[in-house]
Amino acid sequence: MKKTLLFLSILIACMTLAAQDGITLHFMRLNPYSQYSSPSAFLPYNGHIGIPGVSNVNVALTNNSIHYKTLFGQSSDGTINTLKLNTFADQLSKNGNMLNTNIGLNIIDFGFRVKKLYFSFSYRIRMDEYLNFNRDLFVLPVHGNMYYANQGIPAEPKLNLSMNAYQEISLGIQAEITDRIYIGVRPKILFGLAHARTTSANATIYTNPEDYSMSVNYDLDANLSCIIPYTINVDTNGKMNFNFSPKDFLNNWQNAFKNVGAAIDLGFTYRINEMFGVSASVLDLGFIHWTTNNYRLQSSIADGGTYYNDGSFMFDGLSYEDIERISNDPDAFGQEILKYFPLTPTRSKSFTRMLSGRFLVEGYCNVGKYHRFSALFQGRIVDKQFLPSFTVAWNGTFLRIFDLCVNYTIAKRSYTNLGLGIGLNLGVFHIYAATDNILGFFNSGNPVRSLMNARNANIQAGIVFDWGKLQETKIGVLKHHKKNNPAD
Amino acid sequence: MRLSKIFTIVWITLALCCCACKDNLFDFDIHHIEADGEWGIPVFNGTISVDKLLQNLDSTSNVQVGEDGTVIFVIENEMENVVLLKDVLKIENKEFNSQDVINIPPVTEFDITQVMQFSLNTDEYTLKTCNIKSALFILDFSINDGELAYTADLTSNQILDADYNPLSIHFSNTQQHHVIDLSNYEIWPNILGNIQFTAHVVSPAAAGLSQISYNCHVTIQDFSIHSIVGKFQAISHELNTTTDINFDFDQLHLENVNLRNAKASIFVRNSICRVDGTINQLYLSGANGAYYPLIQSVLNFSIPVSPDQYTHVVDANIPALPYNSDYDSLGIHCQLTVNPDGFDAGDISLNENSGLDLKLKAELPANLSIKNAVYKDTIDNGLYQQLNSPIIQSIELLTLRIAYTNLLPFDLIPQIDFLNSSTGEVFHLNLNNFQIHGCYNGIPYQQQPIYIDIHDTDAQQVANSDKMILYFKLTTDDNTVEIKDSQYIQANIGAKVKYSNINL
Repeated sequence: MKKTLLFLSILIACMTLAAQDGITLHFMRLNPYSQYSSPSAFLPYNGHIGIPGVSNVNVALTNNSIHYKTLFGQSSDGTINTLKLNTFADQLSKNGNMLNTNIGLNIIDFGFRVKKLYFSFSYRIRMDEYLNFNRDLFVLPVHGNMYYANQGIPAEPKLNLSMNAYQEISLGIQAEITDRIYIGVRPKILFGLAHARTTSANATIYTNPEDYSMSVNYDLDANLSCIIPYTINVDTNGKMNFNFSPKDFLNNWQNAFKNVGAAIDLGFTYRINEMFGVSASVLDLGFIHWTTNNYRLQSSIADGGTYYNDGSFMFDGLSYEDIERISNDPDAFGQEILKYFPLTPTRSKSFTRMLSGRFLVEGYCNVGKYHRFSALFQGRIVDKQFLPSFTVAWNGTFLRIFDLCVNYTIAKRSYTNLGLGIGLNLGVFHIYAATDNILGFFNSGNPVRSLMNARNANIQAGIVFDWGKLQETKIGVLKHHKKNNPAD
Repeated sequence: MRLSKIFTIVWITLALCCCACKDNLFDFDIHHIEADGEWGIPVFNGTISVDKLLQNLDSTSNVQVGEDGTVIFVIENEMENVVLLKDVLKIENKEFNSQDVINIPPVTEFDITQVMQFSLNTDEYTLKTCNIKSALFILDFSINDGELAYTADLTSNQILDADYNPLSIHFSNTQQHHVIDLSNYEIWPNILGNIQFTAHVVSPAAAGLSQISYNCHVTIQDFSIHSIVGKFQAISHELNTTTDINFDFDQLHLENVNLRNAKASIFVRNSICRVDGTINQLYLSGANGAYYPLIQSVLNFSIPVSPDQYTHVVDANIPALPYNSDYDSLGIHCQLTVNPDGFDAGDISLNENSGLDLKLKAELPANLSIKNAVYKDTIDNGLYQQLNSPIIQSIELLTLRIAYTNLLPFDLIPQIDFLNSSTGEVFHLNLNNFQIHGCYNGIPYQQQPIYIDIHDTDAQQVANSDKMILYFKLTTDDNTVEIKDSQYIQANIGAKVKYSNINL
């Protein structure tokens, strides 16, 4: 009963929150890159080496709010003739709208076994972007301020952005401590490429339903960093200009290695018996210290004159003098108003930002030699948000050639995530592809349209060479069984 | 080889996917936006005072504020040299003749004195001195009709040149006529008021004579003066003049407006001497025979000497003045008496620039009743281009919210017309008989918010108009009111726009 309640609690948590990242590969036991999400996972090889650039390409998009079908409408001849802003704004959730992107690309990677230890090295380029916004960000411009005024509530548009692009050099070690316990550790050295993060980006706009007077409050605080030199300035019209100098980067290529960070992945697997096991992982537990070309963007209501009142921009109409000033010099009046909304970019000192860490807890059940059923709960922490998901999966490894996985993931406002992974291992040649939402490619007729309507779309694919087929040690028999062992 | 085959399969698969993508997915031809919403914006929240309103009236009149705060329209015009000394004081041409037979001693040189003299004085004036601007002095002098050989120098100590040398004229039996230009000479009559000549005669031939006859004829003509000192009799002068005024406002059309307690004042800068006068007529006149007398009876006044500044001499109070924009001139007809005390005033010093400058000032307090006044202004319809945009055309309803507190002592009835200049079509925006009520008897009129709905069909009409004509009809609703600079209207105007489905 308690287990049932726990399961239901987790399920409800996943339905109210959201998650992302490709997880299908995690369940594919023949894939050497399954260790990226489970450092303690046993790899049935003596070694592997990836083809540079194509060994592991991972693109994931979590988009639970901005979809093609909710934005656009078609005429009978198929032409896109309607922009459905009502539909779009109304279907947004109050706070949990996400547009997240995760990209990973292995440049160099290889691994090899030394007795009970499996070492793996990789050099990857990664980019994690998390954009979260609330409903008001779009409902306000679409439905107007009276939508809120008539309810007597303020509009509170808000967004959070966190983006890290970095190089990752990692050394993974997976060890069999006993025949029941595996551990894995993957220390990483990181070199930041670009960073953007909003500490706060929110506004409160209250409109008096009686006289339409408005009170505006907002707060923007963001940090930027990039290895390519750039400057930010704000012109007299309040327009912010970014000026990148890629040529200067060539003279300052060392910047690529100045934003130093460190992280670690930890994994633990416990085999209860030959049939059942549990594992847990903590991933991307680390930080990057950003030092190159740092900017801080700050803005909040300032005392610009008449319309300033106790920290707010209070606008209850133009005065006669204002109208005269507008008549005489509209631009000058516009610049006066901009004084209430100063945007100040300043060079900032170096700062440290944590990565968006992730943890996974999994239980599995082996059925025969080839089938494994798993249940996995994972969560990612992005700033102060916790983004969980829950997955059930089946993995079949047939003839040690095919590596198939079918799984189902539930996340907030995303209930149709049927994952599929296929791996083909022909001798040392191993090609694979996996997605967490195969329906996302077909839910709207053609793959591209489907992807633009998918709440969760990802693909992870690559080609890798691996060799030395091994099997897990049977519990109680501390011995590795070689490939083609008749006992198997 | 195996690897290349697999790549081939992958690329074929991708190509098939791309072909499948050709699904009009990016065939955008968006001409319809579904968006329902409502925006409310506070447009105006301020005070419009009488002072600010008056500043917007394009008029040549000045606006002043009286001690009690009453707004006063002031029309002021200056007329210089309405009276000049030369107009009132004319020195007549003078002609003088002296001839006699006189005994002479048996010498070749002798003087003829005390017999050749004349006076410039008349019954109207007695000169003490005079600086001549221009005059011709014509002299004929002969002895024994010229039959005797002689030379004679006529000298007068009463006529001095610019270097204060006495006038001296040389005659002979062959030169008996002279015309002298007396410009810039000064005349200083002797104590008897006369100008006296002495003739010094040299005639060897006269030594044998005991008597001679002489003939002296003097004419002074075309007399004008730089300055003069003397006594004068009172001089009458009639002044009849008008000055242009602008009694109209470019943007304010007034009909049936009565002004109360207006005042016309006369100021004079006087560099002649004391002047008394009587105003017979003071009036407004203009086109179409417009005429309105500002005084009902004659006004007497006295103008002291004040050569450097205007002196207020008289006021004409005008209890009631019906406004008429046809008035374009202010006229005055008066009888002046220059130096009314005559010789009793003693010596008076005058110069050629002496005269009277007149300043007429009309003060029109905004103490009035208005039956029909219309303030009209035509401005570009700033939304014209934008109104053609689909976003504006998606407006279903525009609601104006108006609340105000009015301390202005008149009603305002606004009207907004939209004009299409090219077709001449005028669209009259329905403001639901909206009227701003005036503040009478010192009780502010406070209006709870009222709402004026402008529907989408009206918006379309507005969209086709490039000009916006604003009218504000003003009335005082049978009241006579005083407009003071402290009066104002405090207004709060908001606009609410409801829109849906934008068709591009």
